[in-house]
Amino acid sequence: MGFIIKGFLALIWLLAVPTLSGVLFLPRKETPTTIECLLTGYIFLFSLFELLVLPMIYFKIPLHILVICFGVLTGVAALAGAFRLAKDKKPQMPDILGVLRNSSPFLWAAFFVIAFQLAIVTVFAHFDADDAFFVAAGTTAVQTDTIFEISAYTGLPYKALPYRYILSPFPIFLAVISQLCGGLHPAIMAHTIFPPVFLLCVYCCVYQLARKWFKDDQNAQAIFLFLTAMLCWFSAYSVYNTGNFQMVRLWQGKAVLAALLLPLIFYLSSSIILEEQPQYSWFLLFMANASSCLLSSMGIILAPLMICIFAFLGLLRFHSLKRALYALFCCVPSIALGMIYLYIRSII
Amino acid sequence: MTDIERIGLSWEWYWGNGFYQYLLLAATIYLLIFHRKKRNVRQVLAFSACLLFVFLFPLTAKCIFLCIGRTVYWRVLWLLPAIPVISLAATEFLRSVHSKSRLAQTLLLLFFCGIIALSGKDMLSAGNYTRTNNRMKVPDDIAHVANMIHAEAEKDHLDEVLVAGDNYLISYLRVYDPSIHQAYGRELGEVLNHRCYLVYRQFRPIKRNYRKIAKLAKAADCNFVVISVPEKKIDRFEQRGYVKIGDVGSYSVFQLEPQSANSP
Repeated sequence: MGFIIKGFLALIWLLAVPTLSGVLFLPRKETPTTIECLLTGYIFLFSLFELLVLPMIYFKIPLHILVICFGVLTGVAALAGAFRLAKDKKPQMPDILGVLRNSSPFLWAAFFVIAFQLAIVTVFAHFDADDAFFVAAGTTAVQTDTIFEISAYTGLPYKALPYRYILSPFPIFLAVISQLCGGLHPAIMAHTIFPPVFLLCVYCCVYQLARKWFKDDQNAQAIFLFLTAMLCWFSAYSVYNTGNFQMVRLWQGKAVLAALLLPLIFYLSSSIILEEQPQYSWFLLFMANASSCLLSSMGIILAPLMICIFAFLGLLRFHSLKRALYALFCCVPSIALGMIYLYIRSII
Repeated sequence: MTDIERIGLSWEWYWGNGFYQYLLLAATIYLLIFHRKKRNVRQVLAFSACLLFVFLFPLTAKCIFLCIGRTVYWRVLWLLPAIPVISLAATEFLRSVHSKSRLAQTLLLLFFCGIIALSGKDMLSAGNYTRTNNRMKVPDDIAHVANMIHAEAEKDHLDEVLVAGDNYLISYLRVYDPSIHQAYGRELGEVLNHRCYLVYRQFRPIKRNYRKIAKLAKAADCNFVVISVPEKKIDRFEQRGYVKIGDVGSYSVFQLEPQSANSP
């Protein structure tokens, strides 16, 4: 299949499907923005994937079954989202050029810095030895039509279960998406398609934070976005910080966790736990926690840690035990997977 | 290393040789003095304070060590909203001058950009990006090695290709071509058997024993060996039935002749 068709399919599966399916998880009373839909859609996609892939790993189901199940379910969710948008008759289509024409010059500056970064991560390559597992596991899954049965390192069956990774199978997400995009090589998907898509999501998340913090001040929102983009660009002072992970290896689960999911959980937690009237549903926070588990084993620990700190702050502010219990309920995916991890470790 | 030392080291690693931690400190002080009554400021600073307490307090640190391991403790700092706090403070400051003059605001924004540039290091000059001639964006020499091995294996109708090479090569070979099998994974992430482990160990020293590598690779059934080898030492591989099928950059690619596979 031609490269252009595969690129078009990538646009559908990585932008259109998340955006449309995200509509389903936003409050119905308000008009959702495209950015909100995209971010919510990714939370849905990641959490649904985690829910599907874990039993399939256990029952040694072939990869193509997972591709079909995930494709059908997300496709149906996207159609349902489109149907809801049409029914509500208030879809807010993105008018990027219109926004830029009527907005602060600082938004233009932010737009150019972000566009420059998107171009860099798309055109250039960064060699990271961690790809030996994180990308090779995706290429191996596609090559052998298996899910974590064949070692990414050797290409031969695993002698022992890779318990560190099976609960956070983001490389399999890479394999599934590459299959949905007409069989695009997972390495191309990882190194050329994922970085700009996820980087766009990162700045969407930053923009949401800016809208929350500087409500009704578009100039300040633009300055905040611009400064954040600049700070990320100059983050090469250490290879450990979030900005560096964001700019150089945004195809690995841990980088997506650090750059996108944790800031998104920060935004959601402050909008749900610390607001008198939660702006999003608690279930969305629950799904965000499940999503972080898919991305990296670190997510199983770090996401609940963040939610618990917000729960503590919420308890101090509202003196509401119910709110803290809801927040703890959002950590159930992490708690469950943590227990499964300990169980697997004890039997191996 | 004590727990306190580990916490300190994780902090140092995270901030590296930049000055972002001082920007964060300055931003926090500014927000505390001038904007502490704003709800968003209070929320983000309260969260940061709690997170730093969890990170620095030895008891909580110990609990996290148990969960994620000591060597990656710096990852807890991913939760610290350092960049948003710095941006928030700078934006609040610029907002306060907006009413006076748009020009002053623009000049101050440029000044902040200068501070950011001086405090950190940009991604391009840090040598993070490079160009490749292959779409998979793996190092070109490894793509050539993989193509060469694949072509030879097809030509000889080999059922299985088992490659031994150094850590750099085996990190990317299966990213490019997953049909190639490897005797071991990067940093010995996985190893097929004890013989393969012995091959891996022989690849590690700078001064390699090529005779031993050839012998062990053959014993481990590796039908391809990819290694940087001086011209005069190539015969060490030929004596064991390996023939050189080509050079890629500093690497020489050897293939075990099928008829030599069963000989000692």
